[in-house]
Amino acid sequence: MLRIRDLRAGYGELMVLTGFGITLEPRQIVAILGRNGIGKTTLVKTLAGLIKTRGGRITLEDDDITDMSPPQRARLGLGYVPQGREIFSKLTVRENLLVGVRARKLPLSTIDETLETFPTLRPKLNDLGSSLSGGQQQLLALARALALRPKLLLLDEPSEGIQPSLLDEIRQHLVDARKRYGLTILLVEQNLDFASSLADRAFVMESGSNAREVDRDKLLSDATLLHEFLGANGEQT
Amino acid sequence: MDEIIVIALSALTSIAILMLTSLGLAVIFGLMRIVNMAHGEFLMIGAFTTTVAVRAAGFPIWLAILCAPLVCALVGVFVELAFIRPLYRRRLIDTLLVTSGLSLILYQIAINVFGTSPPGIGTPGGFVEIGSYTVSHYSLFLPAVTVLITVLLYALFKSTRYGLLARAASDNPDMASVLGVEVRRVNLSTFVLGCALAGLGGGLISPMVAVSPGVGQSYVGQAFMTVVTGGPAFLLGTLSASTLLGGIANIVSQLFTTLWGLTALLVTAIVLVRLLPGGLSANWSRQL
Repeated sequence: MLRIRDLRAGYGELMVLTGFGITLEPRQIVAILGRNGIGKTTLVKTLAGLIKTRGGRITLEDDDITDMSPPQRARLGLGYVPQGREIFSKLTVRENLLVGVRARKLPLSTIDETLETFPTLRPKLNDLGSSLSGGQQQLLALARALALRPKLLLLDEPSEGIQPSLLDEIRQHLVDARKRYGLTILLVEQNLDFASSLADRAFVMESGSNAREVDRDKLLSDATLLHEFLGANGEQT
Repeated sequence: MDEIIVIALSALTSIAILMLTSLGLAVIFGLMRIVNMAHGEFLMIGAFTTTVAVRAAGFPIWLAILCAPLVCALVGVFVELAFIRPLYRRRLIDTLLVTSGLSLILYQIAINVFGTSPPGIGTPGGFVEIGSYTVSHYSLFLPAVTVLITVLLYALFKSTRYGLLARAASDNPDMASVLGVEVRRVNLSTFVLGCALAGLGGGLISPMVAVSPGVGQSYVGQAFMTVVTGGPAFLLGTLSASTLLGGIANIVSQLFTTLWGLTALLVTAIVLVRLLPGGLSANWSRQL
């Protein structure tokens, strides 16, 4: 589904990804863990096309997307839920959901189908995005991405600042989406509970060029692993 | 009583002119955060397009006015692709400098082509008598057409695909692009729309003013004050600011002199920005 080879990217003079590689099989949920600043967000932003690739190759199914723009990647089925949600604050909830649908000229019925899956958003449809709570914004960001029926979803720390009950709901949406239309997910997380309960495979990003696969079930029990790779931020939440 | 009606109608015309000369700037600044210092020159191009179409080509004035936004849109396409596009995501001062340079160039071109005081065109339509006063039909037409343009723009931004994508691209361009919005194309459309609106404004006021290379510059200062005072709701905020500033300026002008009217406009804008730093619409739930 997604093949990343020798990926290089960064900001100005600073190179963050220095030859990163990983492969995701269809319908897999893969978690990337790692301490703050190691390059997890840079990775997903580069995959989404928001940071220019300076080397390496990204293949989505049979398409080389390395040099494609974000809209081109979106059209090929790449979805993105960024860290901090990035809701359109001046648009209503309905308009937030409509942006991708109208940009890609999908049927408007897509919105109704999405709202059936996310019924808690329905009473808020005419509210501004900025008026929602953090949890509601996270649901909206997820609904906005899933409304476009992506083949691959990039999720950047969806648990950040979210209460546990809502995390269960988010987890369930992701599991359902995989079941219903074979969604593949690349999840960047610091919340080990959330990651281990959702992911089929887990990797610890050790540097901008290396991610080591770890036993998903050991994540929550191996204190050495936690300390070594995640530092203080690896404490379970 | 007649005098009050005439003053009220005159104020309405002033409000309409301020709105018409501010709309293009409001769209470009409101959605793209670009301070288009060449806005006055787009007004001027619109005004000259109309006068040339009437005087040289013999077009009916209504058709000539419609030519103004088309010509300005074409110029806008060139300006966006050549000068503005490379400046997205750069400092505000960069676009300010580039558009200021463009303003000077366009102004000088107009002087070279048309001279400093070219002949104008007459006001179309007849007059209506109100007591001992006469008011031109055209000065009554301007407020009506301003309302129509504002309603159409509101519908454009609220109910069309382009409007939604333009607002999304303005709100968060990165997020819009990963959802599939071609932000560059949307920005081009928005800039061209702003230029076309400036052209339409210039075309519409051309029968009422002395059209010269400096015609735009005489309106651009007021337009900037109106847009800034209007705040983030670039359409309804600008309409509110036009109503307030244009109304006050006109009434004070009629009671005293034009100088006092412009002074009143400036003082009102300063006081408003002081009291409401975010503009009139800073706390509105509507963002259009």
